[in-house]
Amino acid sequence: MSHIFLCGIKHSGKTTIGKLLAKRLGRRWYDLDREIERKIGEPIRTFYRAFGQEAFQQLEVEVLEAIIGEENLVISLGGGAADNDPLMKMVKERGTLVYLYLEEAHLLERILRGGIPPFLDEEDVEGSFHRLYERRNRRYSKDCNHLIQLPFDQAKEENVELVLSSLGLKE
Amino acid sequence: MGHNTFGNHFSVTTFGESHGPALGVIVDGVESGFTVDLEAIQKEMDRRRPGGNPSGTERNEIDKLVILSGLYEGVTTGTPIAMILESTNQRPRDYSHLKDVFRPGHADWTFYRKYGIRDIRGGGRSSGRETSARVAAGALAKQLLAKRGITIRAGVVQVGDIVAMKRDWEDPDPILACPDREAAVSMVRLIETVRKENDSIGGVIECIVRGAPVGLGEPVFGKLDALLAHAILSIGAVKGIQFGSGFALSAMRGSQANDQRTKDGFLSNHSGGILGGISSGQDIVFQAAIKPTSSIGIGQRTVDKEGNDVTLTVTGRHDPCICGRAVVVIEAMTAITLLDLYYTAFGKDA
Repeated sequence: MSHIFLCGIKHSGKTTIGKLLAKRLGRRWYDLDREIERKIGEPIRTFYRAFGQEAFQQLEVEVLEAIIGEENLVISLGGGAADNDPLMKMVKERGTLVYLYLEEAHLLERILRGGIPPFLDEEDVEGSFHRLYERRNRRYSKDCNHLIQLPFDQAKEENVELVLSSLGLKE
Repeated sequence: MGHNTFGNHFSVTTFGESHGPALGVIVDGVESGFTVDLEAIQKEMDRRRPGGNPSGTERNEIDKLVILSGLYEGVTTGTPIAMILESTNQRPRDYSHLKDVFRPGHADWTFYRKYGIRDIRGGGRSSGRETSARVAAGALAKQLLAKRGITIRAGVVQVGDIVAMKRDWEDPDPILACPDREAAVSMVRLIETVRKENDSIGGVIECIVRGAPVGLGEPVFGKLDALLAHAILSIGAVKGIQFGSGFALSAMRGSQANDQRTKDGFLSNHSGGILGGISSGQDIVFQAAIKPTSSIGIGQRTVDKEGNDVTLTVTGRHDPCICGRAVVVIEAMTAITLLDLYYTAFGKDA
């Protein structure tokens, strides 16, 4: 198998699971958002606010391109990868896309444990999340090779085992 | 869709979807003047629900029964009895977006092709939750049969390749209602192994009816075995049924298969207590084959609505083996069928 890309809506566990998955498989792991921040030397949000979506998406593609020269990586994508067509195209060509799926209500419950995040509308938390969820879910469902439904609040170690068995990589 | 009613003189109509505000059942044709044991009905409901059974799903869904009609001070009036089960576990907006991908083994594909829509909230009418309405109706039927000396017991007699050898119906194990406690230990262990592998497994449930009089069953299309098969196969997970020695009869000689009789009674029960579609007065015995739970934590190939290939892993609140919880559903459908045929043959006063 070539690269394993993990995608999902915010807080679905891309980073946590990606890291553990790579460890279990003895592969290198990259978190795309972290790599981007390393390159620009500032938080993504700051960059995004200053330069806008288009510039950020271009950056996503550049950074990914620089990484995927190596073989057999595990790469956690950012939550907004769904909106980045060239990025999704590259991902599909270069590996297996795994969509970590969580039910909308479960995900929102998890997100709201840390208070209302800036990407949601304070006046309409449920509605704004619903629109975001619908759009990205449609894209990830359509593009992914593996759709893995994660149970609500399952321990991360168990989630990793589930991903492994889903991918047929469990001995 | 139609076809949501079963039975003639005693009929049961279920309604509701798995994650809707309520599921329910209308029971019609019940005799008047019968004092219903409501606690016993609730107890039967508890046997079916997850958590009521250690091998079941860990989801805490409470089936609380509300009776809307047909009883006056706990006594049947002879009018339709409407019972509903309110879902207490509904999270706000708790529905699935897996709607665009067809889950292998589920009814998604056929429902979508036939009706053009799919209930996205966990299977809708094809969900196992629907059977809780049948259990409520069946619990009532059981009481009406018990009054006539007819009792129904079911239990798991096989999980995977582990087969119960004993039939100790007076001392079944508490998890699977298996009449062989020793085998049950291995069965439960196997289910745990399968759970750890994120897989699922099927089994066989045996049902035994004692005290049934001669004469239940209406040839030719209302034969007892034909109607029981109809009732039992209408349970989602059931893919087969056999009566008495069942499929093994096809390998026997007539000299072995016939149940001989002396003045003291039958010498064997290969026929499962049914001859010519009519109860013979012997124990009625049948087995139902339960398929493995369809939702598993292993990637399986399927397509989405647009025909794109995808490997899907469905997990969440699912049992690795539903046999333990299906026992009470098998009993319920048996009770409903037998009471209907009892009323047909002997009337409501008998």
